[in-house]
Formats: sequence, structure tokens, C-alpha cells
Amino acid sequence: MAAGEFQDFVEVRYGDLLRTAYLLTGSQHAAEDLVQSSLLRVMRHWGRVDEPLAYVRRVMVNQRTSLWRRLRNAEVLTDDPPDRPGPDPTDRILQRQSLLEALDRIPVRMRAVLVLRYWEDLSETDTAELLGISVGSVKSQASRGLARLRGVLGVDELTRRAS
Amino acid sequence: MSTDLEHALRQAFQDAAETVVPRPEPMRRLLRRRRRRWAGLGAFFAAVAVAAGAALVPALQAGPAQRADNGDGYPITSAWTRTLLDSPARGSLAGTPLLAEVERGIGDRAGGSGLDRLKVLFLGEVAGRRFVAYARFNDTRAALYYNDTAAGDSVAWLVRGGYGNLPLTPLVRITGSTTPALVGLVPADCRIATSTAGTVSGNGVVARDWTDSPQGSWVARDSSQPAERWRVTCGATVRFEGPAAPVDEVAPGTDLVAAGGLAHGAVVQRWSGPIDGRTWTLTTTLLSGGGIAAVLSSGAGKATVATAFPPPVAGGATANRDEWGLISTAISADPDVVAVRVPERTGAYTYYSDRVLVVTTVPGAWSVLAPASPGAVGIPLDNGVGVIHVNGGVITIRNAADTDIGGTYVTDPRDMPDYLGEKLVSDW
Repeated sequence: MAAGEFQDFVEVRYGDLLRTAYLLTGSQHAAEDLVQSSLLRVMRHWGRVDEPLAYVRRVMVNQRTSLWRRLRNAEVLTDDPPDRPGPDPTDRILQRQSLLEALDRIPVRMRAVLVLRYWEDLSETDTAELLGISVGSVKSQASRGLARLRGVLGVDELTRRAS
Repeated sequence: MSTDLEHALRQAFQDAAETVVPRPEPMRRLLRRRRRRWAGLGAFFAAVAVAAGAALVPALQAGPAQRADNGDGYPITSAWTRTLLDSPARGSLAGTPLLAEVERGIGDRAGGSGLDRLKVLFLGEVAGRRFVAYARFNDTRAALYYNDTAAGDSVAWLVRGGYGNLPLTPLVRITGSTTPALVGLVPADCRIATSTAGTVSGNGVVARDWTDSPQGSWVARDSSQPAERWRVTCGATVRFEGPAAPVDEVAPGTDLVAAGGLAHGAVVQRWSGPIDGRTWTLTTTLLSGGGIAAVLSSGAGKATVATAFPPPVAGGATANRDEWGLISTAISADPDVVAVRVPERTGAYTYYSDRVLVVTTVPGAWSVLAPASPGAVGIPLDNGVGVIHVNGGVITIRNAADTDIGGTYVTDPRDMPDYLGEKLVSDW
């Protein structure tokens, strides 16, 4: 791919990547850090990337699930202010906070499975390929992850959101 | 229960993620971060990073709009825009159940302020990618949104990203985000025809064969700048005619003649030299249909292309293009006589001046004569090269005995705007 296409990709996909990163990290600062570091890594190999979106997703998830990176980035400091929040009615703040806290309590790879399956809408096969695990593992982690969220938030709460 | 839980989690993710709206200019911020990182590696790497960043900043100023369905659109200024909104969705997937799914997906997103209606304009697969274009609108305002994803990606992904809150015009042109592609569509009652070659006649008219789009009111190409000229006819009136993709600001190496829908042969440099402090290069190429195309350019980087004659009112284009090159184009029936207007720029607006660079290889060429009111004016040629003031009409090459030995047609300013000698039509 031409170098100029990288700029187009960033301009168009940045918001989408940031939202995925936000669900993976639970923090807008950390999400920005994850997206930027992933894009900078991809930038170096851009000419050899066939499916850029899939590739950046993979880099983001791998960076997020890297133990070394999580230890190194226990706290992210930046001179960039966080991306501004969009409309956020008061009654949704607690719902969002509950979800993020629940996600923080589950293993990082399980969280990645949930985000890829239910936010990115990847298939079990694609999720397994991206994470480098078996389809069976994806199924079990998704099942257990859903159960963990249900335990924290309650089925009634989730069902109410869906209605 | 599991399905309910999955659906509820999707909705919860949606609620949480939609609170995150990126600030503008992510590429600029990315480069800034890269510079900070490199600064720690030493002054050399920092200097390289700054240079790379500086080179990209001008392009960022013209970057695409950020994707969010929260804009309030633009005034609807043409009845044809309303006709477009009344037209059915077009595209290879418009007749499939996917259309309803996409409509639901878009409808679930928060709309722009006051833009309470929604219209999917295009849904189809092009160059292996899935494209959607839709409008949010009300009685007076409208905004265009579009996106593309891998063909296998979900509808949720398709309607979530891309470009947004852009002006909606009767001719919608959308491009691919990661793969070269161009889709054009117009109101369903109109027809698009395409042309890839033309023949130049002695009076400067380009004759073309047009091919009607098989889809009628839309076309799709696997190139972001196909070598085509498009013509849109509504009833018996040509409402649009011009290059398939706009040719106004171009990157180095762009094939400007092909972009104008003129198939051609090898490009040859015919002349290089100074005019008014700039160094210019004139290249020409033989057109496959007959005649010659000429491109006069300054600089080796990005450039703005002249298409109109008089400068617009001040303040019409404020972007900084001081470091960009200038380009103008022309055609001629006689390969031995090229006459191209020298472009000028005011602010970011580039336009043809009334001065014409004449380059001829006719043996014995001594002077050039241009029509004037009254009579004609002439200047001597220096090795077949001269710059002369011309309003429009046929310029004549003469030898030392004042005998006409060649000539070509120069477009009259009243026939501007044009590109490669062909009029640009936008009559919506």
C-alpha cells in the first residue's frame, strides 16, 4: 500500500480504533495511547500490510494482552488531553461505569474475546485467528466472560439495556 | 438467555464506546507523538521526524472530515439534491435484505441535530469492498455520510465508521478508504455516460465517443482517479461534465491527461525555463484519438490546477498553498504548436492568466500573432518559444517573411472553466 494511504486510513479509522481501544482498556487516555502506539508500529510496515484494519486490530489486541506492556503502562502520562466525550446523559454514566468496572475484573484475554466478538462482530474463527488461540478457547472464554458480566451487572440489567 | 445476554452486551458496548469522539487531526497528533519518541533517540532522528511531519502538515489541512453522525449538515441549494433524496438506493446490494439491515443500523445511531430523516443512497460492493453512502436531512439541510469495509465485515462496522457531515450534492462521488475505488451516483432520472478518449479538431474542440453506464444512474470503478470523463444528462440537459474525479489539487506523478479522460502515449518534455520568477516545465503527449495534450507545471511536489480564468473574490479559498506548484493544461490539433495559459494563484485559488506560453517546433518559426481588438498583436519567438497576451482565438506562427506556417486554437476566457481544452459543466 502507498504511504499516502496510511494517512487516509488514520483519518478515517481513528475514531473506530479508539472506541475499540476504549473497550479494551476502559480509559480514554489508555485507549489513545494504545491506538497511537499500534498505528506507529503499523506505520513502519505499511507497505507490506494487505488488510490494514485487521492488522491494526491484531496489533492493538496483542499490545493490550502483552504482560510486559501492561506492566510498563500501568499509568499513562501524556500531554495530550483525552478525546472529548460525546453526549452522555446522566443515567448512562453509571451504566457505563458499571460495565467498565466489570470488564476490569475479568482477565485481559477474556476481555479481548468479548470485545472482538460483541463489539467488532468478528466470528469465532476470526477471533481465534487474531488472538492465536483455538476456536474452542474462544467459545469457552466468551461463555465465561458473559457469565462473569451477568454476575456483576445482572441479567435483568443487561436485558433492560437491550430493550 | 445467552442470545439475550449477547445482544445486551453489544448494546452496552455501543453505549459505552459512543461516548468516545476523537478530536480532529489524528494524523498530526500521531506524528507529534512520533517526534516525541524520536527526540529521545537523538537530535538527528528528531530532525528527520520534524521534517517528515512538516511535509505532511499541508495535506492534513485538507484531510477528510471526522466521522460522527452529529453534524447539522449544509443548506440544500438545488432541487436536484431533493430529487436525489427521493431516488431509490442504488448499488449491487441495494435490492437485497442487507439494505433494511443497514437502514436499521444507521437508524440506531444518533442523528445530526435537526436532520431527522435518513436515506441510504448507495449500498454495494466495489473492488472487493462493501460501500455505503447515506444522507441525513430535513426540509432545508442535508449531510452526506459514507464508509467502506471488507465485504465480510458486519453491518454494525459498516455504519459505524467512515466520512461524515459532508455537503450533499446531486452528483455524489465517494472513494475507498483503503482500496482504490470510486463510486458516482446521480438522481435516478439522470444518466451517466463515460468517455476515455477524444480527438482534437483545429478549432480546439474535443470530439468524444460516450458510453452509457450500464447501471444508468451510477458507476463504480476500482480506481480512485479513473482515466475517464463523465457526463450526466437529466432529460435533455447536460448537468455535469468533467473528469471522473476532481482534478484540482494533485500529487506528484499524477497522470493529468489520463485523469481528464484522454488516452495518450508517452509523455515528452518540450521546454523548461523561467517565467516571472518561477521555473516551469512543459510536457506534451500525443492523444490516441489525434492531437496533443500539454501540461505546464512549476515545482516538483503537490500542485494546484488551474481550470477557470478570472480570479474569484478574495477570501474564497484561504488554505495555504504557497509552497505548492502551479499547473495549467491545454490541447492542440497540431503537435508542432502548443499554446498553454500561464497559471497564477491568489491565496489558494489557481487560475489561468491572460498570458499564453507558445512553444513551436515548426521549422522557420519567427514570430507568433494573436488576435486582438482591434486587429492583432505579434511577438518574436526565441528558439520557437514566446509568451503573449491572448484573450482567445487562433494564434498564428509566422516565418521571417511573415508567412503563416502553423497555428493553434486558444480557448476564450468566456468559455472557461475548462480542463485540457474541455469545458467543465456543473449546472445543478
